[in-house]
Amino acid sequence: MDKSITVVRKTVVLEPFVKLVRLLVRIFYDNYTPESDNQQKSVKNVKGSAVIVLDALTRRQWVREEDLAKEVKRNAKELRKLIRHFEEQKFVMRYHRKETAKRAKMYSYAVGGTTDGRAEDNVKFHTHSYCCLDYAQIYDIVRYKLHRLKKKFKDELEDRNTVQEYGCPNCKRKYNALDALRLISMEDDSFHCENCNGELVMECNKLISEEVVDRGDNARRRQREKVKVWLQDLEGELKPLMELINRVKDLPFPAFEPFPAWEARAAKAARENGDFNPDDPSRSLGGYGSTPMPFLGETKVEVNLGEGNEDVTSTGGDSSLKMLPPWMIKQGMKLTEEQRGEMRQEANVDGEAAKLSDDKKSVMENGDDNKDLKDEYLKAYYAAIMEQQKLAAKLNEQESAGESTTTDIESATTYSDRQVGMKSKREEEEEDVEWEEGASVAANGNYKVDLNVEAEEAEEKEDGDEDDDIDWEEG
Amino acid sequence: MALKEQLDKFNKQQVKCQSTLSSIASSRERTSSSRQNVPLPAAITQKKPDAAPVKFSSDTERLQNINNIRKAPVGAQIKRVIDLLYERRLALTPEQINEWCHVDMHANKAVFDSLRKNPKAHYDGRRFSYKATHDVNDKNQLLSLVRKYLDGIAVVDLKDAYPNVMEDLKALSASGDIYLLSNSQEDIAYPNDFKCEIKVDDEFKALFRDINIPNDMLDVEKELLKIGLKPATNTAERRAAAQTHGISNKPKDKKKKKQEISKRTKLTNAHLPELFQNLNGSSSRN
Repeated sequence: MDKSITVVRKTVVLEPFVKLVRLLVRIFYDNYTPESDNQQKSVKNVKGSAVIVLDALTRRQWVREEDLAKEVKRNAKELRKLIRHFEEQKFVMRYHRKETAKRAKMYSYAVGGTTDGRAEDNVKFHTHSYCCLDYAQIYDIVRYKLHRLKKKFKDELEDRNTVQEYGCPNCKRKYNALDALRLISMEDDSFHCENCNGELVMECNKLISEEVVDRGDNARRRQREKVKVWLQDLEGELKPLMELINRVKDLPFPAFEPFPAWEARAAKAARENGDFNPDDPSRSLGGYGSTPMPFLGETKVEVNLGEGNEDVTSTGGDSSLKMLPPWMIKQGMKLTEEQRGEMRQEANVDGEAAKLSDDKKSVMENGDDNKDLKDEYLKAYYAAIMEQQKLAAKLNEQESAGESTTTDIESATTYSDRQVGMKSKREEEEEDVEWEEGASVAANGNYKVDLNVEAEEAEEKEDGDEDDDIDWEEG
Repeated sequence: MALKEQLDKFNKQQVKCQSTLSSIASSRERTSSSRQNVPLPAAITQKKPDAAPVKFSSDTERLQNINNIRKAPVGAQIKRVIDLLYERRLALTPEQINEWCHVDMHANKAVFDSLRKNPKAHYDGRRFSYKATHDVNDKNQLLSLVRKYLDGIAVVDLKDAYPNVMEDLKALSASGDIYLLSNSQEDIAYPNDFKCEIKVDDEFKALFRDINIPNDMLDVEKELLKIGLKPATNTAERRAAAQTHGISNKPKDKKKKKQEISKRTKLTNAHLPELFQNLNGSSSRN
């Protein structure tokens, strides 16, 4: 019952932000067309595509770009250009990941997730992009831009000259005050031109464009009038936008949730809907791995609810993790520098592996999520910190288990280095990193670890140059 | 004499009609007609044979057309009927359809049954009428239909609604009620369910778009704090959360790292340590 009530609240709260995005895109982007190399093809009517794409994104959360292109019936390339532009403007958040097209097998999906960020020569994996609107950033960027625009107009009207400019009447060269060191003359007190040694004359109206300067005073006045009109537009015409911004200020913002967390939450919500038995780990994993996409639409509202709660909890956890407790520092003192770095990476890798493939860890995580939900209603901030410390202790246990594996990998590394003979020490460190990740993927014992090590060696020898090419292409 | 002339004329017409309709008896009829043709020119003046062949040829041509239509395959006849319904936009009985396009549905049951089940034709027990993809008859209904499809509807699916669809679509696009955009293959109509009354100069829009944003969101937040506004985004918190979950929140750093030195790059020039400063920096990031 509590969840349903909060769901309603979240749904209502999201409305003003959607309205803000729609109004914004219709004011400033209704005639926007992404620049295309082929000018002939752009003759077709494409104005308004930005409006359509952002409207579609307001109706969705994380969505794959190919799927969005199909649904909106837009060209995929054109859509990607638009989303890339909005990513640069920080309206849209993107997440790139390698995954199979079909997601037929759980194992391949797990491998794809684990090898995120690395260049793999496997043909089955492709890089897919997911995108989502970030309302908080949009709000900040809009206010920032409006402020900069207003400041620009006022500076132009008030004719402020931060940097004085000088012009040579003879050869018409132009200098500014920053070049003064080269312009000083020993004969008299004024500046002289480098080229013809003529006396320089001060110039006014730096901000006005060269064309206006060349024309004369009338052009300047017209430019000033134009800027005044723009300033009035900024204060008059955009008043509804300003009112909407002020109204939105007091509302709680929909929290931004990263894509992997959102996907896991969507899968969990799908399970809770009764489609799968939550007690059976194999079934839940099957549902998660095989058909995550059909549930994305159904769980929009619930995911919003989860976002709010989840981020609050994670905030507490993060602050506790930042300041290392003394007992952790003591343990850190015993380890060497290499082992410290390895431990950190191991923690990340173990987390990913647990989320993706390990049955036990996923069950544990489900329990943790339930506990987190309860804590928000029952306990205080410091209780959450205590639980985070317990989790850290569990991670230490996992790391200590990983150390023995690391030792074996190190010995293998040393042996392979002798064969190669010419590799430097820094490369050795990186190789250690790779092998640890491989070990965490296997997770069944020493036997598979050895196989992965040999496989990676073979890959390195055969595909050294091709991997670099692949990296460039992905970039 | 007048009665004899009329009788001869009637005999000629009947002979030619029978020859065109029945192929089996054509040889016998022609033999008998050739015999009767011998005494005819003696009895009739020159003017009458000029008029009679014209009528016969036109009738023959018309009857041949009707015969071709009725002997065509079922699909062709169905298409003919549907085209008629599309043009007329009326509910027509089978008799009227037979009058207009010569498809006799009572004689050909296959055509009748297939047409009754055809998705483009609607049969109410007595009459057939055209059934468009979307039941829309005027501009207002067209607008409400487009508004139901938030992600856009292909114009191809709207063209058969009523004759002036394209003109109405262009009018709606001009008035701003819908967006009419062209894909690389077809045109698509999108609803504009959120109208904004704000009109701004194009140069003003371009200025707003072209304002540069710092690469790091933290700088934007600092700037907002200087203005006196409270930033809604908390990038530091987000990055900390991302580190906890093991999610990389900086795709640009990844690209830089890959471009500079990859893990498989063989490092030489060990005697020049300044070359490895970037490597140390990137490793510290990890």
